[in-house]
Formats: sequence, C-alpha cells, structure tokens
Amino acid sequence: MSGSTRRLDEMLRDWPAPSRPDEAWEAQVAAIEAKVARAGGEIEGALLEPPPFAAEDEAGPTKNEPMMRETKKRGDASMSDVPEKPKGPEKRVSLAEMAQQLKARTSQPPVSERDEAGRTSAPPGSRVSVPPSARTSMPPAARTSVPPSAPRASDPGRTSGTGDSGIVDLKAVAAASDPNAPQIPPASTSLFDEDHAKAAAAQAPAKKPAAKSSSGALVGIGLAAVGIAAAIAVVVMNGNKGQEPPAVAAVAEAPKPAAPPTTTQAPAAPTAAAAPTASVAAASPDDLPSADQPKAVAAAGAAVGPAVPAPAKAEPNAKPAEPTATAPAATAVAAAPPPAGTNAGDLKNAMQKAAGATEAKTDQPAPTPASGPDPGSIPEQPSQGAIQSAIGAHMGAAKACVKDLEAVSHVNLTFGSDGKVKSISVTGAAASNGADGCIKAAFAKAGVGPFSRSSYSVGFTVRP
Amino acid sequence: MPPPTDRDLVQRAVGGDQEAFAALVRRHQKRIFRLAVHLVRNGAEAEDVTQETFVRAYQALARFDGRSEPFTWFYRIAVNLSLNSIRARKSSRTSSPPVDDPRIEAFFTEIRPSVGANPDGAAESRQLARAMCDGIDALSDSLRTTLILVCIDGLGHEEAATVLGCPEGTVAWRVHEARRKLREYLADRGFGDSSGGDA
Repeated sequence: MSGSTRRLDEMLRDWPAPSRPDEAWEAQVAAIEAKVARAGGEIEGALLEPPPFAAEDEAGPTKNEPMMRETKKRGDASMSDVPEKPKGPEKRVSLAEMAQQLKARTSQPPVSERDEAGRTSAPPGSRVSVPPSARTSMPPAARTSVPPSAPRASDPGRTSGTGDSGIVDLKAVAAASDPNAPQIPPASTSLFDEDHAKAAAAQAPAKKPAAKSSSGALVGIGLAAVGIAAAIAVVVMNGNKGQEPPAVAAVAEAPKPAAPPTTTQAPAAPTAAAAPTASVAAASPDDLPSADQPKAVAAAGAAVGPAVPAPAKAEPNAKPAEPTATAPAATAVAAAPPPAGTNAGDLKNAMQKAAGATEAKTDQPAPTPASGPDPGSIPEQPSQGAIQSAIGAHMGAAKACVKDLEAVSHVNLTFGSDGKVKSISVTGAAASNGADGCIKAAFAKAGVGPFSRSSYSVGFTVRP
Repeated sequence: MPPPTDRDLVQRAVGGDQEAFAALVRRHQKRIFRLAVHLVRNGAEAEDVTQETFVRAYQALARFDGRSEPFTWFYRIAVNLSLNSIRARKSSRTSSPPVDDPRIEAFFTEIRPSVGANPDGAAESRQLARAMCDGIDALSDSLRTTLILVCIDGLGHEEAATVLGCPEGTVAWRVHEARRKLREYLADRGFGDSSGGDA
C-alpha cells in the first residue's frame, strides 16, 4: 500500500460524525419513540431490500488496473473468513419469478443505453418498481456469477499500488499458490448480468450447429473411408480377374464416392445411398450397354443418376435426373468392357471423354483410384514392375529349359491390351537347340494388367 | 451482568418492550447518523433519515429473522432511505456544493481542531477536505455508498455485502474503484502524493 493510499484511508476512517450534544441524541431518541408509538401499518418492503444501484460505475476495472487487496478497514473480515454468508431479511425467490425477471431483463435495452436514458429521464422512484423479491437474489449491481473486476484467485499478481505500474506482486503470487493460504473465492454474482446473459444466449445457439457439423463431418469421413475401402477391393478384384467385365463394379462403386460430399447435405445422403441398389440390380452384366449403344448408355446413366454426388452437393433442391444424365452415362461407357473388335483409339477417346465429362460435371477432387476401374486408371502400357514380376515369375521355368546350353537365349514377349501374352519369339541358343518350345510354354502364362495400347513387346535374355 | 446483545434487544422489542428498542436506538443512532450525513450531505436530512430508519425498523421488527446482525439491518434501511432522499432532491439540487457541509465541519471540529491557529494550514486543510468531499460526491451511488460503509463507517466487507446485498468481491472492487477514483480526483486538484501526506 502506498503512503498516499494509507493516508487517504486513515483520513476516511477517522472522518467523524458531526458532533452533537448528548441532549440532541436523547431528543432524537425521544422523537423516534414518539414516532414509533404513532407509527402504524407495515414498512414498505423495498426498504428492507438491498439498495438498488444503477450500473453506471459497475463496468469493472481495466485489466491493467491494480486490484485492491491490501485495504481492509478495522474490523474487516477476510473475504474467505466466513464461508457462509448471512442472507439477512431476504426473501427466497422462486424459479418462476427468476425466469420471469430474466425474461423481462433480456428484453430490456443494453445496460449502457438503459443507464443513459434512466439517469436522465427516469423518475426518482422508478427503480423501486422492480420487484423486491427479484432484487433479493440478484441485486442490481451484482447479479451474475463473476463480478467484472472483483479480485480473483486467478489474478494473484495484481498489485494495488498508487498507479498501474504493471509490477507483479510475487508475494501475492506465492500466497495464492499456497494451498493453505486463504483463497479469495470467486464471487457468485456479477454486475452486468444482462451482458452475460446476452452473451450466453448468443453463444448457445452458435455451439449447436458446430456440434452438428462436426458429427456430419464424422459421418462423411466414415462413408468416405468405406467408399475407399470398397474401391480398393474392386481394384484388387479386377487385378485378379483380368478380363472380367468391371461394369457391375463400376456401377456399384460409382455411388460410394458420392457419400462424402453429402456431409453438409444430410437429406441427400439417404437418397444417394439407396439409389445404387436398384441401379445395380437393373444393370446386370447382360444388360450393360456397349460403346455403340448411346441411348442405352444414357438410360443406364439416368438410372445411376441420383447417386452422383455433384448435384447433391451443389443444389440440394435441384432435380436429380437432369444434371446427372450425362455424367453417369459417361461413367457407364467408360466402365463397359472393351469389345474384342473395338479400335484402341476409339476406346482411348471414349475414356478420355468420359473422364473429362465426369470431372467437369462432378467437380470432385476425389482420387481416381477410389473409383475402381475408372477409365483414367487404365495405363497406356504396362508398368516396368508389372513386366518384371510377370517375367520373373516364369524365369525359373525358362532357365530350366536352357540349363544344358552354354549360350544365352533371347526372348521377345508381346502382351495384348488385355495384359495376356499374345506372342513369344525365341532366338539364340534355345532356338537352335529346340528349347524354344519349352521357353514359349514357360512364358505363355505370363500376364500383366490391362493397358490401353494395342500391344506391348518386351525383350530379355535367358541365361543358362 | 453483560449488556444485552442486539438480538436480545430485538427479541424484547418484538415482544413490545419499548425500552429495549430505545436501547437499540441509543446504541446505533450515531453510526446511522454518520452514515446518513455522508450519504445525504445535509445535517437536517441526515437527522430525518436517522429517525425514519429506526421507525421503519421498528415497523419491520416482526420480519427480522435473525440471520443477520440487527445493525446491518438498520444500515440497509438507512442506505435505502438516504438514496431515496438523494433522488428526491436530485432534480432541485444545484451543482455548487453546500456551503455548510456537515462533513467538513465535523472534519475540522473533531480531527483538526488545532489548524485554526495557523490560517494557512487551515485554508489548505479546508481545501483538502472540500476536495475530498467533492471527490466522494462525484462517485456513483454504488461506489460512494460502499466507500462510506467500508472506509468511513468501518464495516467489514462481509457486513457491507450483507447491507448492500452483493457479493464480497463486489464490495472489494467497489472500494478499490472508489479509492482509485478519489485518488485521481485529488491528484488532479493538486493533492497528490506529496500533498496527500498532509492529509
């Protein structure tokens, strides 16, 4: 405590009452007794209630202002000395009354406006009209849980010097950290309940949509994971089956990526999930359209239409069939197996068209591997890894064919677009010693994944 | 035999013992009067408030449930009556301070009786007392009432909280804020640290 503060406190504390002679005090006692004898009726309840204060100066201190801790007048009890606060002659307020008052208070203008208006225009007795029962539990000057500037246990370092020096009172910090030290309990009411109530009311509805969106995001993530897993399974199946037509899988997989975009459009999700079942049932392998049947393709696309994600995401109220007519058609075209006599260039063009149309329409950043046998996923030529693995798998048998030879043999394998070996040519020692048939038989079963080129040849050497 | 407590006197007064209530009045009227003087800043009004406080308290004796001390009950009634009195005359009050402020007279009568010997010191002390009164008057009702209850009347924070019907933390903040504003007010008028020592 600074010297001036102490002196100010001493001056205030020692400020006496105006001296009056004892006769005056006795005369006052007599006057009071006379009034008491005459007095009748009941005291108005407002006088027994806490004094109603306007909130003009209750805005609380700024953050840098020192908090008053050191000054307690003579006979002051510590704020934590008495745990139970006497309630005085106060009435208990029912919940209904409190709710009514809260409702009325929230409909009032903000404190600053009301205060400005109230101080100038309100009649002197206007504040008395506030129900006393409500003021009992929620005094006007301090109603809500935390007074805006009351000393808090969380502010141990604040000092109460003469100015705001920003110095941290380490003693106060140490005292606050001491579990045995008496802590200043947070006040149970505050000064600006209106503001707090409005802030709470404003925050309450804001939290709910946040929770809703997070749950929707979780659902979307889950659906996306399921879709990706299904797509990976389809890719694996296609890799194993090779020539098996992927159209059914394509139709079945097309809706799966549609699920994630529905995270923000909850009503669209069930539709997108339910539609593929019927579509798949209708699009059996026998009924699949071929590349030269555009009308049938369009019809199949329309059947798949509702599951396409783009319309569900962009326009939840839009007509489902109209925007999805082209994209699913292209998807079905691309997913259809290449006919045996189809030109490779036509297939490539068709796939590029389909991929371009799908991407433009769906505006989806979804990865292409998730869509299974999407046209874009078929490579132009087999990868080196696939070729090496195909050759290596049968190299042992081939080496067995030439184990008795001393010279090397050269083999040229030609794969077709379906990934199977189309032709094998053997030159070198094996060809001259009649072992070429054995080598051809060894590599006849080699295979790679389908690719878009008509054929792909690779040559290698078989050493004994 | 120890003197009866306030609660005993209240109990007896409730039973119709006028002497018991007179004893309560004698015991607390000076404190109530001092509070009223500092709140209403007028001796006559303070006297009226004091008398009215005890009359109203007597009327409400039956409603005293004994959960708080009787004097805090008197204080609450006195504060309410004082605030009502202030509000009633607020429209007709002039901005200039009253010439015969009972607080200043009490300050010089009781605390600085010797300053009259030194005219310069008397003038300075009177200016300081005037500045302090003006600074207190410039506070809001809540800050001023809390400051008077705690710093002048010497109530503890708990008692002041009971009187004012607010948490102790609110009382603490109000006292702090009132003192801060009062210090600033005095500093603006040249009664800072150096001159405050004289106070």
